[in-house]
Amino acid sequence: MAHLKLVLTLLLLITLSIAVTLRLLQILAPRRPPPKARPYPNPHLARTPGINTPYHRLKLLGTFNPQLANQYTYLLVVLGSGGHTAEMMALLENLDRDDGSGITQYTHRRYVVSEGDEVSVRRAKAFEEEFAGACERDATSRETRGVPGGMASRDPGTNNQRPNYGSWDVVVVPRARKIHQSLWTAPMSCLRCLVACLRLLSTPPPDPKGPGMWRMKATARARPRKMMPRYPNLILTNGPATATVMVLAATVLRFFDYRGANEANALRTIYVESFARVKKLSLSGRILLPLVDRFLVQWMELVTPGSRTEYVGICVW
Amino acid sequence: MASTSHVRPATIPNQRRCFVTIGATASFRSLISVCLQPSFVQALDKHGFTELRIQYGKGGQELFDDLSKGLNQAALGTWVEISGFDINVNGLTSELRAVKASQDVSEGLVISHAGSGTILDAMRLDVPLIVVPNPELLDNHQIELAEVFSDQGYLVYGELRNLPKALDDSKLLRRKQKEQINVNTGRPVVPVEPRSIMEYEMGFSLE
Repeated sequence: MAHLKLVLTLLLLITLSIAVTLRLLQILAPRRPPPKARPYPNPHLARTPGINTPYHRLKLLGTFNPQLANQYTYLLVVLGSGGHTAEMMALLENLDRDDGSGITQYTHRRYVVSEGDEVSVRRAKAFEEEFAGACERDATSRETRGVPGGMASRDPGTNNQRPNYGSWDVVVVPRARKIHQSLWTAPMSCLRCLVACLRLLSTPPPDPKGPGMWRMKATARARPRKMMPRYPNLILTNGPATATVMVLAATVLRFFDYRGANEANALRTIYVESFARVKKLSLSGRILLPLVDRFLVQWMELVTPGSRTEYVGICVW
Repeated sequence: MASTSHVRPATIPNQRRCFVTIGATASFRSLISVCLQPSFVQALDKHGFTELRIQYGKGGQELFDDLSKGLNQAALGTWVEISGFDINVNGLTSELRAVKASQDVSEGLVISHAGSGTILDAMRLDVPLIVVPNPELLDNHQIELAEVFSDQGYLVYGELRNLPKALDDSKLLRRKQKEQINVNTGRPVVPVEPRSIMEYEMGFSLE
């Protein structure tokens, strides 16, 4: 009788692990379907030499989803402390190094910082304020010259005086592991962080409709209202402990396909390995390598045959 | 600048600018005069440049005016628009940006004195750079910096005596920079911009 119980438990465990493995294989990177194609939120500034290669066009063709045009685009940026934040902000600034077009394609930006990291909050705020200022100047100069388009334009139908540069917020999560925290209590704090990340990911940002936000034109009432997607379309990380937990949380949500978490355009992840990692991947990097959709490295030494790493050159000057 | 009989070629090439800067502190008259030599302007034209813009510093205006008036482009058979200014108090970033490739502008070139500020700015903006150290300066520490950066393949070390050769070198270097070879696979690696990867993952598409 005891034998039978043991065998049954073993069988159950084996089936369970096979099922989990199969599910992971199904949702993780090489087999995950490509994103559904959608129009640029700011088509004036669409300039994409990289993604218009024939290969990518082929992959995107036939998947165009017109419903996605009625959704805001939502980018989640995980900031770490010190160096990680500095690199991430440099990367974001480089997105619009030429003309400000990089960040305007993401209509909501949410920055995640760890508890007590005031510096990162301030950097994100400074970045957004500078961007808003650049949009104001761009819109004003275009209006006086009568040139449409640009980084952001003001809605003509409303009294809204602010150009459409989107919205942003900062969210704080508990630290995964405090510096000098003992290893015994680390799992507990990681779990706390994971729960916070799960909650954060599944709570969409407030629909920006208040005064000064993206108000619909008064004449266009018949058009469907723009919606904020439930999950971030894209998570951008570069390796602090919080980022690891955040990607794990996204994987958990996609594993169970909780409220459409596994849709093609939800919770896609990009990991950018730190500039400081020249020859060996970091610990977060090694953990996240199989979990993220794209894994970018800044040094050629990290591109080995058969590995998923992609070389982008130094992008955090 | 050009005589009236001199007409622009029918097929207008993309704009391509060569920007020369001598920095804000010391004067560097030899660089300005070399850049306005007929041989150099011809070399620019051969490389497809359409614009030559020179930051000549305080007190360089006279030299610049004399030399650019003396240049008979009709006789040379070239069409390079020449312009200049003394100093931009807001820094040179906007001038350096104008060199970068965009919709109907081909990627240009920056020729600079070996000032570390300009070198860093140009590298940050990823524009092709030729650095010409100023031989008139005493104990020129800038030569050291220029040598190391040129050895590592970031820029071209140009000599006043032979600036047209530096143009050829810069073209070669740029090509080499764009096709880096991966040590492990032996294939050229073309870095993709993170921005493109992000936009691909978002599914942004023009069709």
